[in-house]
Amino acid sequence: MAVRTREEIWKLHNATPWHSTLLWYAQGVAAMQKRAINDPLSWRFQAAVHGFHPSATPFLPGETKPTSAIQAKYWNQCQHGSWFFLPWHRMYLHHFEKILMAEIAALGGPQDWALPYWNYSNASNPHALELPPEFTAAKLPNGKPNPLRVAQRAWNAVGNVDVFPSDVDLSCLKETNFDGPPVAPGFGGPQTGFAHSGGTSGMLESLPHNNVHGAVGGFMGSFVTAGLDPLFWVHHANIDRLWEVWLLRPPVHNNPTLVKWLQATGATFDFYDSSGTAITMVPKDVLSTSASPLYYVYDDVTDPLAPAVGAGAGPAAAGPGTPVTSAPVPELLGATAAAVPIGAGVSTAQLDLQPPQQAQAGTLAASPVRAFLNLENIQGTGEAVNYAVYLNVPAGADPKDYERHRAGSVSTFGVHESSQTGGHQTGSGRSLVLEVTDVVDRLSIDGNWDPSKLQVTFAPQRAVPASNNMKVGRVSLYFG
Amino acid sequence: MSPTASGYSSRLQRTYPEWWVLLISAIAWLVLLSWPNHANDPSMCPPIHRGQASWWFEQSLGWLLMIIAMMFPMATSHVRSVAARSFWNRRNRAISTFLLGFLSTWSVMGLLMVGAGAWLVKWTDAAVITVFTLLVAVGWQFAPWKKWAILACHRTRSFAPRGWRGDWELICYGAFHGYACSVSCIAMMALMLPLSHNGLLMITITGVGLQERTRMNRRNRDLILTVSLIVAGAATAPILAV
Repeated sequence: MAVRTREEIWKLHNATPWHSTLLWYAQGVAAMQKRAINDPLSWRFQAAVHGFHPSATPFLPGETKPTSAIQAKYWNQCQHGSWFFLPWHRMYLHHFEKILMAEIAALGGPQDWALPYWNYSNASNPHALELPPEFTAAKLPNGKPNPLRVAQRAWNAVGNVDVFPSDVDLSCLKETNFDGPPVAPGFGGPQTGFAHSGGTSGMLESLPHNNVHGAVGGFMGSFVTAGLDPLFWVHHANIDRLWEVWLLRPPVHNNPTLVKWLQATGATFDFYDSSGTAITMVPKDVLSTSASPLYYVYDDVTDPLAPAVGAGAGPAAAGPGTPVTSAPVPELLGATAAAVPIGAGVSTAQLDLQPPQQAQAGTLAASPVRAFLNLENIQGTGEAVNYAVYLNVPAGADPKDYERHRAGSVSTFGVHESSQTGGHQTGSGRSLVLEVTDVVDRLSIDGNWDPSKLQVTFAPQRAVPASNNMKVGRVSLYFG
Repeated sequence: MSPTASGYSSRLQRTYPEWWVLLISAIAWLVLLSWPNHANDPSMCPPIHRGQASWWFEQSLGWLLMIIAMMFPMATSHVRSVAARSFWNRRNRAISTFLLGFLSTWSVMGLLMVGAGAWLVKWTDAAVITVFTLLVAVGWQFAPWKKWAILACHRTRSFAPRGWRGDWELICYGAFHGYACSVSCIAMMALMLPLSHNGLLMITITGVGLQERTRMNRRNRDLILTVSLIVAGAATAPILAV
């Protein structure tokens, strides 16, 4: 089988408006949307594989759902907060792409169509953070409604989405280990069994993955509706591409070699293929994109960051492919005693720090010690919102005036669902980790770092619905 | 302690803070496997002792050792997480308080189980009780609360990093985890009472429990495997009394 090439949506748009790849994407989506939800090849069935809630998924009058057994086996299967996040979504995209290819071929389109991706982090493209017109226009060139535009997105005043540079930061690529302990979860996420929600997001899952979901909003802002937005698939194609970028990035990065990851011990991943036949996959089936059964490559997997210097020197970086558990667990320096509400306004957490007893103290840049800010058990209800996170901003000051204090950005994507119990939800909420080594170092150099106290400030990046009610169970800082 | 041994110990503590919990579990296994068992005794234990203080002591101690041996390994991920989320100088204290809560719940469950066993054996013989508990253990696998319990076994909680508040929240965390764990495994553990601390059955139940913990999206084949193992373990335990 020929190897297909997944291409970037802005590159396609710049080549020609309504490039055939995007036009066929729209027509294929429209064809899938016409199918009933109990058809495994339908748009809504495929979206439900990621997540489903009867109150969130649109139904047609008189429509019947699949049997309970089918729902239990195939729906609500997405893996988050887990080292299965990347391989599961690769499998999911593969089957979706094959289903869409079959639809496109049936419509008279090309046999070698490939899913495009959205490279929102492309520094050479001034429009990278925006959606190209193919995803915002109300109509297709033939005058029919454009299925690539979704009304529910968090549209801004100029009819696009507000994705900020901090939402698409690629610092995750600097991470050396694929997995890690929950307080420093590595590039791909911590070791788990089947993990539909809860747990700690890996660095790539946290940023840019979660933040792009939160910034686009609407269907994209929730586990149970994300797959209903055509942008979901081009977003996840980019996340899948970044996995390839990380693997190719020097000096060397490897996937886990443990059998329990390769064979998905403790999990079963079920899908329907493009012929409607049930199929089960494990991570070792999807390690090479250009080989069977995937047969695709990306048009650009160059390293977007400056070459890594001394990568792998950190204690948490136990070495390429090294099992997580052989890396020392970073040391807690301080944590809040109570939950920290995060809402429509700026909120602050105060931490009393104690000197590190095992990790080395001092300027971080001069030592292999790394610093991790943990937001543990974020729980609550409401829509996904992205928050800018700052360290040691003076009380009452506007955080926006303290850019050197900025630690990064986090999203509450999935918090609502993972705070619930039932289905596959544990009710733990979401836990996120920001590596703050650089900002701690900057503050130390500027004289703004107090080793006995830390103030963490959360500032929402867009208007927060009044109905949102979320809190961070604990804010904590680790060195290791 | 030599510097090398000290360094190794420090590395072990930093990398595997849960090591001593697994060591205690291993010791409990050794004690139980060397303890004379009554798997072939149709009356569960010599009737002359049943109901006496020494009987209750022996039964309670046996239950406690079984929980330490069989259930501590299932709590390892929480123990590791609790240690990682505690100050360096509080890691062992945090693990201990978490396990105190965990054992408290299981101890209450154990007293109820032992009491129920002592009452039942007055009315019928151990073989009937064995069959009855086996049926309950198999039926339990299909109960809706079983799925709830497996999910709840994975639920994490935040806790204060310092002071008595931190200790109390860790005890509550451990107690909740013990509750979820006992709802998931109590029916299987009940089999241990009529069959005593049979080594083969202990290994079977521990294996089943560990397997269930990771397979949160259980399929029919998992259920068939689980039920088969429980039945096989219970059936062979009296024959291959270890």
